[in-house]
Amino acid sequence: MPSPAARWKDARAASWDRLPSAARPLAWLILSLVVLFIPFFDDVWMRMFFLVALYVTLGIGLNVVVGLAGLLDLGFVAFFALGAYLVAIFDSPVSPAVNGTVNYWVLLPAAVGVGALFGVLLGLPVLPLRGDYLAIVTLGFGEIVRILLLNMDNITRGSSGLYELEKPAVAGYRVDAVSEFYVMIVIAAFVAWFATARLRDSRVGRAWEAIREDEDVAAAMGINTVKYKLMAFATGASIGALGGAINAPFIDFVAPQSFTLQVSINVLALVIIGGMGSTQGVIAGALILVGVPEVLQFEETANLLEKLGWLRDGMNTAIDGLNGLSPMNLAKLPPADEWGEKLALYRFIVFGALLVAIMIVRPTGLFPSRRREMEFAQTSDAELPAGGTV
Amino acid sequence: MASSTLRTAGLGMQFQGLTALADIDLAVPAGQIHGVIGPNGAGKTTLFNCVTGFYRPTTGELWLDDQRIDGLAPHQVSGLGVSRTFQNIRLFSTMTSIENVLVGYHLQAGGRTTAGRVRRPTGNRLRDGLGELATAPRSVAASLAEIAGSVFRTPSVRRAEAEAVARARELLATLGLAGRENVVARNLPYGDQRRLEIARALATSPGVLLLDEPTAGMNPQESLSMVGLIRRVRDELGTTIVLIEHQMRVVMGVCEYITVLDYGRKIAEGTAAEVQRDTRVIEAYLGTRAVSGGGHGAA
Repeated sequence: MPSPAARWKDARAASWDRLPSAARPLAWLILSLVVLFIPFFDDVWMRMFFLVALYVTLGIGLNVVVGLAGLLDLGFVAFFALGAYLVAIFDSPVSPAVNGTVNYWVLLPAAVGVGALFGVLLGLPVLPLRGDYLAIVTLGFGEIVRILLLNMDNITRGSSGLYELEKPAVAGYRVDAVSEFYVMIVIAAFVAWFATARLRDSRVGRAWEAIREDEDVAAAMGINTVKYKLMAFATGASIGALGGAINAPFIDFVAPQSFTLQVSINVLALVIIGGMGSTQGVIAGALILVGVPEVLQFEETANLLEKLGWLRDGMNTAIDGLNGLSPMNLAKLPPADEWGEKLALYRFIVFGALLVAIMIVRPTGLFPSRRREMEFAQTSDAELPAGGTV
Repeated sequence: MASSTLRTAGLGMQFQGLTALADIDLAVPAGQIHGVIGPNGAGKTTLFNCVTGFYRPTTGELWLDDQRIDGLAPHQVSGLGVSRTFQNIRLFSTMTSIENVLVGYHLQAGGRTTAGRVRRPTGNRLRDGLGELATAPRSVAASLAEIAGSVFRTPSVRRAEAEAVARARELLATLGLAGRENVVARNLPYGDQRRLEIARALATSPGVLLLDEPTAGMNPQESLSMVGLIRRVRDELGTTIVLIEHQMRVVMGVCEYITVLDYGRKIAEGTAAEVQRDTRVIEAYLGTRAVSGGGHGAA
């Protein structure tokens, strides 16, 4: 197997010389087929796929800030909330501040713009901070926004929330079904992916990477680090707000309790589990972090587990054997038709174990960007002796 | 390419009680190779950090041609044409050689925005803040245009990028790094890393290039080729070069004028031959028990 460095070199050579990759169109074909066929699942599954796609969008947004520019942001939920509330305030009949409704397709781009603006507003005071300090301050920002939303009764109705949102309409047709919202969020995820991939491969992305690697040197090379960090915050924030603006009419209940620190942590975790800086990683991370806990409590999962009666019998025989051989007294397994119920109950234990296992087996995430992989790699294959020759 | 003069007048840098630099007067004419030497802790790197805007000097003035540059941010100083390398190599280690150089081309690739004069901060925070606020709409518009240009890959962005890549390749070839474009910086041999750092610094098309111990950790042969490279850069590009160096062979071989620092003060200056004879310099390097014929030994 070639070393990571060699593979990286090949990949970069390909990108610089614009060599077409044969596998790429095939991968795209498979992915688009899967995405297109998903709307034929029933609503329970659709809801899960919507959530996964939503978190993919959020993950792509956070990836710009954390993965590309290297700024640890724990307050990402604030922008998600912002997008959701912007739509809810103008489109909910119970909204105390606004009478009547505004066309959803006006609010959607507005949410993106307002998200970018607030990204800059958050960025300005935290710019001098690095690493852990930045994480703490952004965490505080997320909480401040949630508490503000909770207390601004005259605009947000506090914890009672805003609901019965005007559904988005396309040429008179109201988007209502879960599958239709799924299509919307997939389009949003695609747009976010396209924009961030283009940015990553541009002069802007290079500036972000330089800042992540060594901020001082980046400045010495003429990069206005303040400006580019703000651009990263703004880009990430606008994608977060986009996700929120699509989620709002879908869940149809916008309240502060949906925008807790847990959301920020989940998005960050899926970026890390998937592998920082890569889009495949974000998709894989969202499937595992958002998809798996849902699937574990589905009826289908329970039905599948019921078929494992033979496994239960086998294991119970083994347990009997063990009990006979030693003074231990192990309990026998419950009937297989109860397994699904138990799994749904204890799904977060299973889920936690899965996360720990992933981080042990692949510390750089499932699909790390090649560059991130290098950062984690041991320097053993790097010829970096102080004062070495050649 | 550009060639600038660098001048400091009464430059001083204090860290709380510690005086790292005091009263430094330096005049480097355009196109000169100027050496800064002195024992460890003499303030050589502090001087570089002041010139490049990493530190804000506590007293004195810094002039690049006819523009005062003390108090400017590092990226502004770089934009005006002062570039540097680092004593302990500081490449973007997981980026490839060509990407490192492309970062150096950052300003050119985006249409140099800080060209010409840069407003210096006045020290009055309110006035500076208001001044920045006034330029905010323009820089917001520029940022939006840049993001849009990158996302949609407009023809002008594509052209600028292709041109930057071509020039970066050329620069790498000039510095003897042809064929290493796609090697990740940290996997380059040590000598190549030093040269790549110079390539990256040159990519900003500086009028003044500051080299902080370019031959540190090199054997005599490599040092010799580095000396040749430095001279070639000056001869071909006309760049003014200021270098900090410990190897006397290098200093005496390449520097046309030398400034000697000790304990943050300038203790001598002159040509290599003059400095070599200066008793204060010998004292600073070798102690009061002066050794005759000193000059080849490093500190």
